[in-house]
Amino acid sequence: MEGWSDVTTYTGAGQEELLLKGSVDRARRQILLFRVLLTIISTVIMALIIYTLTLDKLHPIALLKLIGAPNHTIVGLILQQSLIMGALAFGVGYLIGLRLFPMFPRRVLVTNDDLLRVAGIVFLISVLASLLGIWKAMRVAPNEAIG
Amino acid sequence: MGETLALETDGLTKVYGSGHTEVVAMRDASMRVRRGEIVALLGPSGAGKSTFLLCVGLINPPTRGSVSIGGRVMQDGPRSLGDLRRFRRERIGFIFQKSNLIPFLSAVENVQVVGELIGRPSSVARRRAVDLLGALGVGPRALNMPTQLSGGEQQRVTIARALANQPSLILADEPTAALDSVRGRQVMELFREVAHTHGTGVIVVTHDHRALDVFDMVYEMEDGLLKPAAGAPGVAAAGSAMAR
Ligand SMILES: Nc1ncnc2c1ncn2[C@@H]1O[C@H](COP(=O)(O)OP(=O)(O)OP(=O)(O)O)[C@@H](O)[C@H]1O
Ligand SMILES: [Mg+2]
Repeated sequence: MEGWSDVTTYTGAGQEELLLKGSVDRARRQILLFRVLLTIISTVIMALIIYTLTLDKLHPIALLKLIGAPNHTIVGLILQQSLIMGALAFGVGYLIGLRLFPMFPRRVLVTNDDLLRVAGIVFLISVLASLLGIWKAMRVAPNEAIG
Repeated sequence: MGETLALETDGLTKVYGSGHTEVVAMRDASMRVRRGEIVALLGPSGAGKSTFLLCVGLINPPTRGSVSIGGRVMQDGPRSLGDLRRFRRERIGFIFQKSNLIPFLSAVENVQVVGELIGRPSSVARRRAVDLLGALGVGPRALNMPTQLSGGEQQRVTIARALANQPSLILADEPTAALDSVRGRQVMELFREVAHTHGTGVIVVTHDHRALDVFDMVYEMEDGLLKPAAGAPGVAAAGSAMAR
């Protein structure tokens, strides 16, 4: 076969590389870019939601400070809210995936590693998203609870 | 004389704003409250009563003057000495004009949270909260949310909250404004009992002259000036203390 001029042979790995290079590789990069953008956008959206929820609670937060609650308690409340929201989003996303992926033309493989990695990203997003709200909460003065 | 005072303020002065918006809300206010003593603070609107309570409660710093609580200087002019927030949660109970409950917690949780903040186990804090609400006649409403309670019931939950950390100083700003006169009097008597049995110093801002006999001492504030009220109980004693 080596002698045939109009035919080239490839090893298994070589075949894979040929297929993945070019169009598939470009698609992969595009998808990665999309994912990064979506991650940033969801962080911003979530930060705004947590911020609004915190604005709604400025009065009770001032009151907590007035009766002497330490800052870490207040930070904990906001962070907890953000993490719960992240966990819910993760759960909903997972369930939607379970329903949706079988309808795809190709099999979608979600390994435990993938799930763990996504969970880690969700955790990071949740923590980042709570920072704006926490910053606002830290600036409230206890005497804003009265008058 | 070796006795520690629940509260001692010396020359407390508070100036709000500056330039031509400057308001001297309180000038040279000196007060001593012994442990177990309950004190009334009277005075017209705008006299500076709330300003005084906010300085004494380590919430707003005074412009000048000092505040010591339980023998410890906590505030020296605008300078704070020590962790004020920690001091507040451990040693001071607050009740303000408008009832001030956390809207997303039930009545009992509003009281319980104070115990938890000072590190009591949840179950202990809970039990104490239930007891206090019972003592204040709002036991059956313990699981209701604040918006489901009447103004008077909310105020009694606030009072329970103020007692939950067994404070050495209770500061109440018109605590009975939302209560009928019978309930109002009961609350004043409860404060008196708390003061006398636990050695707590209690300061109550009030407009209710009918309940003044409950107090060991009555002060009056006008235009930022604090002085013992004429013809009220304890005035003679205070007069001699003041004549230094
Ligand atoms: N944050 C503030 N900034 C500027 N001025 C203030 C502020 N708080 C209070 N004042 C002024 O200080 C004065 C004393 O107010 P304060 O609230 O202590 O009165 P009060 O005796 O509690 O009155 P009331 O019986 O109506 O509650 C008032 O003239 C008030 O306008
Ligand atoms: Mg006032």
